Amino acid sequence: MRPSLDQAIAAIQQLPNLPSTTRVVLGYLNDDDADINHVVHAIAGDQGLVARVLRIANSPFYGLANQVQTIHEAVIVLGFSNLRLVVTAAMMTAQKFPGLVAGAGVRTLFRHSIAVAIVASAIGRSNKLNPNQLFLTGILHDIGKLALMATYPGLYAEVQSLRETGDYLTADAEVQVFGFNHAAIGAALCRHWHLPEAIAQAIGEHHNIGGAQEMTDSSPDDTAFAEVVHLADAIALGLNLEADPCATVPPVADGAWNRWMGSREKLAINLGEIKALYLELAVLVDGHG
Amino acid sequence: MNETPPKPPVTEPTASPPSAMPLPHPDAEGEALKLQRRFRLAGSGMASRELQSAIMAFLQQRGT
Repeated sequence: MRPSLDQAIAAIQQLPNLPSTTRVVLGYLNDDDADINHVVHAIAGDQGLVARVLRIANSPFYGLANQVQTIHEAVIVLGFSNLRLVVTAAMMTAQKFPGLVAGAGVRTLFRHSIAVAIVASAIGRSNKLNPNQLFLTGILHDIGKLALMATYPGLYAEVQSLRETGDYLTADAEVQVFGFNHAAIGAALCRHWHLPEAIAQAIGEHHNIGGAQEMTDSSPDDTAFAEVVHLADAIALGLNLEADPCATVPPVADGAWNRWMGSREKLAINLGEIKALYLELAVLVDGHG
Repeated sequence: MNETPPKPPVTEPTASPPSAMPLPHPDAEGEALKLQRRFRLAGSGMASRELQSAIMAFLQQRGT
């Protein structure tokens, strides 16, 4: 039986909480001037995160001659930017989503999230919007899909089947099966995890951009993050860096495009650089489960 | 007196000048089809079209 939106949100709120250490670490990582000692201290409070950070710093990707043994060394090796990705990757594991079956679908979703994060932060940089916050919003923008996959695996398999027919965008297939899409669920999960409201709101609205309500019910500032994530989602799906055979671009809102991508200068986001960065980060978190 | 009109000068066939637009790389051609498929539900709005063009230009640049 399909759940109502309220029932689904109630079910999502039964998912494990985000450790407070994760929120503290993310808070530091969103501040470019953060003291590295504060970051190290915050990571040290979460043994799961310590193990993950050390494992990735010691991965063949970095090719270091000597083993990294301390969090301080690992933070230096990874840098704040990559560390932010490692921490958010830790938010998408089976520990946070009991019942989630890791597989190609989850891997593709995570890779798409990385691409959206990179594009969103690039758009942010060219528009003087906080690129770190946009990176985090981009990484988490489809977290509602993970929550639905974990909580309602049978129904979500129906969504995947509809999507594979090629006639449905994912959000539309979700509406067909559930009566709502992943965006509202993602926003509810962000609030459950006590993440910043701007992130929850952007995630909740990223499929509601365009149409008659655009720029009338909300101020540009309120909708900026949602619009940027909407654009980044479309750009990432268009580039299809994650090589998803079912990738389908949704209609792109003209208003959002004109606001954040409209001039030649803003259009000149370097797709080659985005791809190179994506390949670097995707390798970094492969097998992150 | 009827004079036959002078025959036009016979010209040797020459190779056509190189086109200003390079032929698409075979891989880029495949990518273009895939791109079209990915955009099939994106509608015909200005932003969707501009995004598709920008990505197409990127793919062509990469394919040549």
